[in-house]
Amino acid sequence: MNVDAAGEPPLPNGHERPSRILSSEGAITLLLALALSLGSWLGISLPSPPTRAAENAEPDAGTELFFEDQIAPLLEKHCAECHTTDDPQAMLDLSSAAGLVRGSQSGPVLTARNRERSLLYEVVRDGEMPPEEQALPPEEIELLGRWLDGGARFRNPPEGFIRMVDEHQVLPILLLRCTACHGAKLRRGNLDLRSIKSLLAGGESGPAAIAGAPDESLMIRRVESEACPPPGQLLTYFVARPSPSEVQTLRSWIGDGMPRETPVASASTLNEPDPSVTEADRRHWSFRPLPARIEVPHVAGADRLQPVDAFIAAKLKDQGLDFSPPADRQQLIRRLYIDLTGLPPTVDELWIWTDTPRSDWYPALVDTLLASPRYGERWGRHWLDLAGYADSEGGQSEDPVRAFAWKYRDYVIRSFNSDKPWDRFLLEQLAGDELADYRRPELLDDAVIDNLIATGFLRMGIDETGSRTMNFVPERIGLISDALNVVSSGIMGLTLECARCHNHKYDPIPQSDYYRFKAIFQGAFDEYDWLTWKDRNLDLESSAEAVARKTHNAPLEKLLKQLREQRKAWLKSNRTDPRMTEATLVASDPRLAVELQAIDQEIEQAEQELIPPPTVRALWDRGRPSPTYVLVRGEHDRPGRQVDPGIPSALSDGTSPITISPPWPSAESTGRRLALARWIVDPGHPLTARVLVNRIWSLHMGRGIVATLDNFGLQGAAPTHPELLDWLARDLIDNGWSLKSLHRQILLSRVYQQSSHTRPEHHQLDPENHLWSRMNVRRFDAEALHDSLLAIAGRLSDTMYGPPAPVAVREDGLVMALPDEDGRLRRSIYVQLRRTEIPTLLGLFDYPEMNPNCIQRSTSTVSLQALILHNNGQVHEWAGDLANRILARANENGNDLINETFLTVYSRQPTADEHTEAQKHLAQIAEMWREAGNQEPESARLALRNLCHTLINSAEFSYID
Amino acid sequence: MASTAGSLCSVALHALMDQERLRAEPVSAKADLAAKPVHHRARAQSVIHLFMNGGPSQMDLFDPKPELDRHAGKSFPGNAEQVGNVATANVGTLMPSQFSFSQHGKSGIWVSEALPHTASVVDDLCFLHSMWTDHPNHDNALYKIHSGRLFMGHPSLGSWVIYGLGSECQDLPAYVVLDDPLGLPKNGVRNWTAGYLPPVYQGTRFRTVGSPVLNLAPEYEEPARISQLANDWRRRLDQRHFAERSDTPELDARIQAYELAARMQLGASAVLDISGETQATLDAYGIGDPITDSYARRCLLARRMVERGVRFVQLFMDDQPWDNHSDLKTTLLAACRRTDQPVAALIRDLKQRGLLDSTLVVWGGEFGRTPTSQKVGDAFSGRDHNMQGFTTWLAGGGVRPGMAYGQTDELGHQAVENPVSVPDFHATLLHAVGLDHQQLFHERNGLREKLTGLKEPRVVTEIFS
Repeated sequence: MNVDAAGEPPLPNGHERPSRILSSEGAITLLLALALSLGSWLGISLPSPPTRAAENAEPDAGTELFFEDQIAPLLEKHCAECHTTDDPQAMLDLSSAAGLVRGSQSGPVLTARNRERSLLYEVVRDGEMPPEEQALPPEEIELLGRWLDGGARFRNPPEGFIRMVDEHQVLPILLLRCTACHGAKLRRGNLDLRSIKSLLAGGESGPAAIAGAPDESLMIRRVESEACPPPGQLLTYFVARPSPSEVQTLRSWIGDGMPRETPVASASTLNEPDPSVTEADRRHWSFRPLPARIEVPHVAGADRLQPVDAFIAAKLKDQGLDFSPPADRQQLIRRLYIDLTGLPPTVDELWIWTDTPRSDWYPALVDTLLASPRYGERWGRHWLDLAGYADSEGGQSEDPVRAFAWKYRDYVIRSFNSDKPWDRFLLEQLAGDELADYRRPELLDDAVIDNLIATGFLRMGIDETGSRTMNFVPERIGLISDALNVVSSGIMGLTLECARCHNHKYDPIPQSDYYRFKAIFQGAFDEYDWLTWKDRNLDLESSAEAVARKTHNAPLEKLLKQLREQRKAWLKSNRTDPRMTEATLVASDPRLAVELQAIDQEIEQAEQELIPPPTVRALWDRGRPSPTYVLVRGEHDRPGRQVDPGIPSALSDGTSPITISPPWPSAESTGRRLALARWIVDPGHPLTARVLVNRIWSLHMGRGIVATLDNFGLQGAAPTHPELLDWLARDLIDNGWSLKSLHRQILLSRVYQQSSHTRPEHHQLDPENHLWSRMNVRRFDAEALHDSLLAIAGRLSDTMYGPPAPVAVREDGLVMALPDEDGRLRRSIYVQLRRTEIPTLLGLFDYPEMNPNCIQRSTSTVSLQALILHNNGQVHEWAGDLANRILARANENGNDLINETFLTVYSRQPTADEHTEAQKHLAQIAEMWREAGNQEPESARLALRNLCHTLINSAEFSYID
Repeated sequence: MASTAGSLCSVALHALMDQERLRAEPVSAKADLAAKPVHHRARAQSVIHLFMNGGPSQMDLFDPKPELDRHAGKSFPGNAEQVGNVATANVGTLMPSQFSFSQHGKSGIWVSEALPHTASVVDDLCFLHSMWTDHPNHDNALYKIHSGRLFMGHPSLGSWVIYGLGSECQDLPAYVVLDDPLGLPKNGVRNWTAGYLPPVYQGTRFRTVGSPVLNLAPEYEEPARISQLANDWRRRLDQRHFAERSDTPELDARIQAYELAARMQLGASAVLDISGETQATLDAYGIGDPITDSYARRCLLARRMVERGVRFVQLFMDDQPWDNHSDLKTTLLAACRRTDQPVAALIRDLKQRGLLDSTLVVWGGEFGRTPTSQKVGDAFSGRDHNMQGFTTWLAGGGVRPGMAYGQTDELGHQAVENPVSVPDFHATLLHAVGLDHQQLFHERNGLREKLTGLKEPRVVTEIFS
């Protein structure tokens, strides 16, 4: 072994070099040797050829350098001011050899004989350190690099510094490059490289490595001859070749006698919270435990205020303000209907609630609407935003459809409608697979199946790992990071994602916390032992059901196969040009259209007769997690220290409050996510209830008590009414986590029922409405607009649940949902939401890009919205349907057309002036239609269609007072 | 801004401040289409991106490699895994340039015989011969070149530019996509998505046949005076509604959005109406010639749009005509013939009208092609994808004319001199329009998202005059 000859020469400048396309995003490793070998083969010299480690370096580069002579003064001069012994930055002490060797929060900062894998060198070379543009002079950077390449020699090696490479630098390389073939799934040559022990045991060809003899070690020989990973199979197993510096690490380790854990760098487990997080950090308001009791303020002169109102009134009074008067009754009815069901009241409903003499009509209406199945469709949708629901995998342009995502959507709607206690709802979604043994068919019932469906929550992000080329470790890590992001920002209000590459800049979240959190999911999401989305399905049925299904389906499947072949043959024989699309073909001849339709009908019929597979898109722990390493700078091939599963240090009280054990005896499951879920729903958790009530408040009131719904950290907004937030959170828990009770607390308050009218004193004293001195005027979101249009047009289907309604893409790119057999369209939550085919009407009104999810929708106001509402043929057709409905009703009950139209579209009567004006307008337009050649009553119908079209285009329809 | 001669946008720009507004309530920064100040002096006011989807072959168009020709037929010197796209590697031998090269103009820049018209304007072009990207698949490389990331869902370059600069046009969208009537490019409309930015920044498809913008014209028949009357009444209703809620500016913005929609109908028709163009202009672009007509019309429209203050115009071709895996000599030439004359005419036309100084024209694809041939079926007649080196050219917008920057190795395979990564490329384009890639960010999930990502890119300052 050539221990002294290592390391690449430094880059001539700070530029990224294309030969280093080992980017964290990229998938294909390109070796550096190419340009060099190419140059010598052609007999020409190439500009700045990258060289391969170990081959071209000076034989004794850097070995003459010693820490004490050259490096200590350099560190003292540039680094030791911040990286001191007492309270060092990033826990890295650079004032002593011992501190340097101990490393930082991320793990070791230097790797002997390998500057490229030394964090210390890297941050200095890239000018990241020292901070604030005090970069080291190039010659000092080079000195540091040469010292590292030369073996990082010390005259007086600090205690424990014997060997810099230990198993924790080697294992991650083996996991990344070797275990796809020599691991859990495959064990080629009967060799298992998942542990040092099994590596030493070796396989059919003997031990993989011989201590002290890298050149004789089979592992090194296979890798260096590029026999492993096998050429031509890199994409079969999604492995990239080890980089030269990784090979060098393997060599060094074997050369040093294959040491196990280096004693000084042995902080390989982090069961305790990271010591860099202090008590002061834990005193941030949202990290403090929820008080057991919150004092409701007494507001003078305002007796019998409900608690919610007392908190609001206290602050209003401080500013010399009072509540606004309540909105008028019909405004309130409309507000509640849209808010709780996403649909306006019908005219009959409107009158029932307007005319009822009941003094408790308001709470009765709240209860009625909370009990409506439409409630779950409305509020389930809000949760689907947070989960990042989509009916397709995304990633590649094919955007494969997620055939069973809808089961999760249905589970969410059912959970909201049944007011499933929120702690249970979260438990199921975070760890449903660890709540009951679903692997035993005799224990399977709907509740157990629901547990598994619920875990779909963790699988809503973009998943390209089922594609032909995008299933390398970086893509897998990207998917895991999306899932962690959804959990941390959506449920915990923490921007944990910021700590993926480095310590969080603002919050007390060290990078190790991110990876401890990631380790919780390692049993299910293991980037070294991966399942693509194609394999992450469970067929949950009893064995008798399975037999019955197969017997029933077999002949149908045979028939379907025949029919599909028939269809293909038909297309082939009728196309005059192979590039001709199906649409063009059938448009070319009506007879062809009829023929194709007949075949399609047969196919459809057979498909409908099939018993659908009991397939559930789920996430489950497999009980064999790989170790989890901090990834230096978030790069997949830069493992740092190993970490154990753990919760964010700032939320821990000093000893890890989560206990991890398999959920039941003999379970093939780590129990890690169950432990996390139990901790999250613990009534003492400082964030879960606060984050939830803030979200619900925001959806009702138009702004959160904490304006940043996803960020309760130091950079998040401060709560405007912290005690109210805590009171609501406590009340939710005391009411058994009942969401409907939380809705009632908010909806029955005076603050919710206020008018949205702004009075002069508001401009002075509460211009931004931070005190809630009035209600906010709000626009319909995309779904409320779409569904309300359909509802008033009488075109809305009330079918619940099941596979989504298909969409069609028009030739000009417009995407729209397709109607059912009766010409009705389903609510937008039941329309297929494929990432690449979001219905245009929804997309234009801010249906979000799920990337990975949406915590807070934006409300844009652009002319493309005007164009679709005004010019789109479908919307115009709905206006016609609306006119026909109103005419039919008027014929039946003799109601005034204009009143009826206003009541349907605006949920209110027109004023006398409005009525006169509309009457005149209607007559004028009817006359114009007559002049255009339309007889009565058609001219009147057309005029009414105009009236309807105008009202649905007017602002009042899509804004809620 | 660009010359507004004959434009409907010459109305005071300040009036635009409230034209379109997005209130990403309540905490996000206000986002709208109002013109915004630049970060530094802008060299270009508008961008025309001639996107050449599929991966144009650098060694057959702009990057002659005598060594490649000399060693034709030899096997690739190195590991075949490193040549190009591992997924489809059926690596053949070194394949010489399929077209002969000669030097052109005063600058003496090399262009192959496949692009005679482009060759005639080389003195106005600045070639980046050392582009490289991160992925050898179309899907991911397209996401990368358009949005800086390998995956879907991130905002495109055009969206970022509009997000940073706003609009200077009252009757046309700020970011227009002129896609091919023959069909969408690979990745479809995702190529011009606003990603997580508000949808107001997304590219608007502008079609040269039928209704130019989605829903621009009513999809129903109605006498004009009825529409007029109905619209007047709606305006009255909305104004009254707003007057009663005067502290909700969104309602005013909505009224303005309806007005802009109406103006857009006129503006779109005006920009499409090329009857005022001289026959000489039409001929120069190649309008009327069945091979060039489609691309020529879109090039001419691009000029007419930047003339009217459209900030970012992007041209696409159907599917991927530059993806010449087989029969390269014929298929590449076909793509050249469709585009060469219109592109050269666009450069001349912009220059002649004094618009080239303020318009940055960008020509290029998502990656390049391999020096080796690729086996498709039984034949070795095309080239595979190559992410390690390709050529893109720029023109106008303060970029040095007649310049060749960077080099690939002797086989044209890998960028070796002054390599330009995609983030470098993006930072450079932003620089040209007066935006600093560090200052152009969008706050999301606690992160400052940027077009150029985490690693600090390099603005290729050497190419600016």
